[in-house]
Amino acid sequence: MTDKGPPDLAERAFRRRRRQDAALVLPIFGVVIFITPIFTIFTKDVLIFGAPLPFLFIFGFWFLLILLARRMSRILTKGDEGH
Amino acid sequence: MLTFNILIAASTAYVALLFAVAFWAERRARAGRLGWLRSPLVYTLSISVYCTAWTFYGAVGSAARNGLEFVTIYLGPTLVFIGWWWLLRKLLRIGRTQRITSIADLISSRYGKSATLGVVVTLLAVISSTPYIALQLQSITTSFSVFSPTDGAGFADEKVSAFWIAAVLAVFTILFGTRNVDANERHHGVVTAIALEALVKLFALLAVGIFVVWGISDGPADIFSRMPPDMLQADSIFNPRWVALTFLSATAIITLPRMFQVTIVENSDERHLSVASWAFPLYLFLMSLSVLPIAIAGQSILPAGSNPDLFVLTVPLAEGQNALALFAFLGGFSSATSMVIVAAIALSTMVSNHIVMPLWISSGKGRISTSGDVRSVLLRSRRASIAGLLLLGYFYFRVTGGSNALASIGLISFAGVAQVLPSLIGGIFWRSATRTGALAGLIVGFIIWAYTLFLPSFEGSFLLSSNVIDNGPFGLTWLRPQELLGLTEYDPLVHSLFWSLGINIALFVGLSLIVTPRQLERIQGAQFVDVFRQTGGGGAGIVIRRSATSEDLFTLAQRILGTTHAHRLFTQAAGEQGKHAGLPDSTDKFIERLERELAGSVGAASAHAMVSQVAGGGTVSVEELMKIADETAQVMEYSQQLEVQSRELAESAHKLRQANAQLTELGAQKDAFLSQISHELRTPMTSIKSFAEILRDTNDISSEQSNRFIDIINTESQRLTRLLDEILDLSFLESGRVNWQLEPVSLNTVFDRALASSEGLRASAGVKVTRKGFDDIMVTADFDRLAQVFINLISNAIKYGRAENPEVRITARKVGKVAIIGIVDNGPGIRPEDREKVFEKFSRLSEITLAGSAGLGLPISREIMRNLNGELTIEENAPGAVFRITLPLG
Repeated sequence: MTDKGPPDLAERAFRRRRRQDAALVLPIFGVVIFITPIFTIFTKDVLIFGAPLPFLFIFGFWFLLILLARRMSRILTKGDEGH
Repeated sequence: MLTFNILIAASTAYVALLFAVAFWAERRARAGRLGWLRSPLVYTLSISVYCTAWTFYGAVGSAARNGLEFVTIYLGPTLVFIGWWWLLRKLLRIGRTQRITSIADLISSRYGKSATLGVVVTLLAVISSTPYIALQLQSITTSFSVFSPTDGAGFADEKVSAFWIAAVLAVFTILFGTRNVDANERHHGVVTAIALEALVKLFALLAVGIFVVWGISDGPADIFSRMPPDMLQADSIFNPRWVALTFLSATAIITLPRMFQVTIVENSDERHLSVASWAFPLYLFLMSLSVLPIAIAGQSILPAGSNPDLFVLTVPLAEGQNALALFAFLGGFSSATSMVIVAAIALSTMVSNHIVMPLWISSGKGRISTSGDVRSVLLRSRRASIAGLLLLGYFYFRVTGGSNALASIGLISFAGVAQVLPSLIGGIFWRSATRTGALAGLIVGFIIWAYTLFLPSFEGSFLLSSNVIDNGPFGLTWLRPQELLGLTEYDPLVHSLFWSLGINIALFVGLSLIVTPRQLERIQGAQFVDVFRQTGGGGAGIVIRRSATSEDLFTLAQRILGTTHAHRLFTQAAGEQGKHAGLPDSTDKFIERLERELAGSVGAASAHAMVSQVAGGGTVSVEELMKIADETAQVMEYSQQLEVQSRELAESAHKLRQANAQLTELGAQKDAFLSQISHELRTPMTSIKSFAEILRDTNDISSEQSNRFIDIINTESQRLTRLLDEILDLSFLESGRVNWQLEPVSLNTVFDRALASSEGLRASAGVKVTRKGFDDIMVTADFDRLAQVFINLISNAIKYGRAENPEVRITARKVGKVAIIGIVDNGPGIRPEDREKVFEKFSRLSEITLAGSAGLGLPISREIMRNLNGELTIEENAPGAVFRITLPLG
């Protein structure tokens, strides 16, 4: 058994459930960023490296969400197959 | 110079290419060589049918007018897709297990296969999608007109060109969208063509974006420096409208009929969704990336007053980039056509399954015995629906004259289909959601949407006059469509969304809590909500009495699925039932499976209606359930009775075993008794015999000696007689034939008699007998028998109580209603393990205590005591033997 191998079934089930809960956290994170007043903190009319901050903020977080979703999708699918 | 003819030639060639690709994909699929045609990539690209001409042209227009607001239309779907695990995955699984064909089918199937709900959702979808289709036609004709005015060789009339575009799209859709009657069978041709179009529109928009950023200006910083100062409207961007738009677009990606078609119905593998969960947001991200730079460039290069909705075309044209402009044109063309094609397929499925089919069934032509081929009815109705829908879109375009800004039409359409959301989400997460709630919420939400958003969008030219829009019907200002109850703070979209969805949800939840759902609704509700807990098929497994014959079912299946498919299905089912030839039995399981199979073609409600017609009474009535429950209860009761009986049997068997053991024991005791008795009788007999022989055979025997021998013979024969008397006495006592003369007797008198009888014995053994507490105790007993007991006990005590100064103490006292008499010696006593044995006949006790005894005295005494209603026991707490007699007082 490798050090990453889950020790027993209960532990494995727990980890799988945690992965699935994490899948819920991601869209909530997106909602918090984009449609709560937190959004207004970053939408000031300021230029950073010549680009407006709101533009960088929206597209930056958008891309971050996509990267996280990709990682999450791999983790979830892998867990599914292991099951 | 890009002439109009070149444009026509290019778009014709492009359409020809699409036909070719679709045809090629269809052929490959038919040959079974799907390969990458069924890959996550193609699936993701087909979902991008979300990006219509509204995105392609309209997003830039929106960015020019409202700054960053356009992003909301893509953020909503992004949030839904990265949360795929919770919603889309469940929808997908439900879609596959229930063989769902459209969003209307999903709602109808969930709420008890309700035909009414199917019709309502279909109408809602058609009404809210028609403007959207019109919008696509408009965008194509407008983009043509961008190129045409310069040389005057364009279409004579925009309206004519729109008609021909609609016609070509209808032909394409009919050719590739209605090949199979089973909507669950993927439209590989269409999907592949759409994936190709998705690539064209993505690269076209990216190409224009790249040209704008690096061709016109010097990179991102430069283009942003050209931006008008307040263009982003960053300070005021976060408001109710922002939230509402994000929510609306998130809703649209689930509820739009065409999105449901590509995401759920056309999906062939759940794993594709996990890829699309990030790949589709990435596609949206890339599409949006170019929007802002193009809007900035358009505003800085083109003269003020240019239509920002056409910047994608006009910016390259103004810069003389004809090839790029052509590419952009094809991108816009792709966006529009792909949307129209998929929307037409999705809507035509809904119309044919939920409106045409129920009408056909109820018109009486659906009678299986007389009907023609259901397949051809379905296909014809679907083809007619496609043509009809495009015609409807065309008329809408002609009526409205293409005056509205693109974005507003799109949002009105989104808000219309968003009315399905409460029933959809409630339906798959909430078991108590009912048909009545869904129906009321949908209809009322739809009416409010039409009144507050859809009809006002005609600006007074359709149904609502501009006077009513401004002042309310009959001058009732609180009923003004866009300011209901005086709610004036918000823009019309947020206002309409608030009222329509709010009341929709309230009615849906409220009525669901009040109205009791029908049985089929409960079953379907459980299957939808707990879709992940079901394994294989997900059948409810409820026994329903059916009267269908397999022939009828086969006829039905043949007419809907086609002969080949139906034959395959029935043969397979027969094989699973263990039959090698012939039709399968029409078991409930098979009928359920057949119904689901048919649902894949005609929708759940129609399939249910058809199968019910053939099978006779498909729904489970409450009475039937009660009956089933009753039968179950009876079976349970019966099995309980059986259990009790078997327990009783086990008990009697146990008792029998015990009795048998006792009998065996008694038998052994009897054998022991007989051998003991013969032994006991043999001992005196032997001595009598031997002394008698000596007397007979010996002549010179002295008289003194002979007297002694005769004395011994006499004693022994007396002993023998006594023994036999005792045996007789015991068997007499045990037989219960004794006449007991119960009378009051004085204990003193009985004891006097007993002591007198045993006087000789006492004197020879030198035993001292003491008596205590006998004054005036009267007991109820048989005098002679009680005396016999006392004599027995006293002689026993004298015989076996061998001590240096032998002594027998006799005590008596009254306790309650009984007299207790103790007879105690000071001998060695009886060992605890022997205490009960002394009462057994001829038991072999240890030699010291009862050696040489016939041992019948104590059993006889105990038998007597029992017959006198008393008891004889041995006490433990003494150095010598202690016998206790209990007797009722006189």
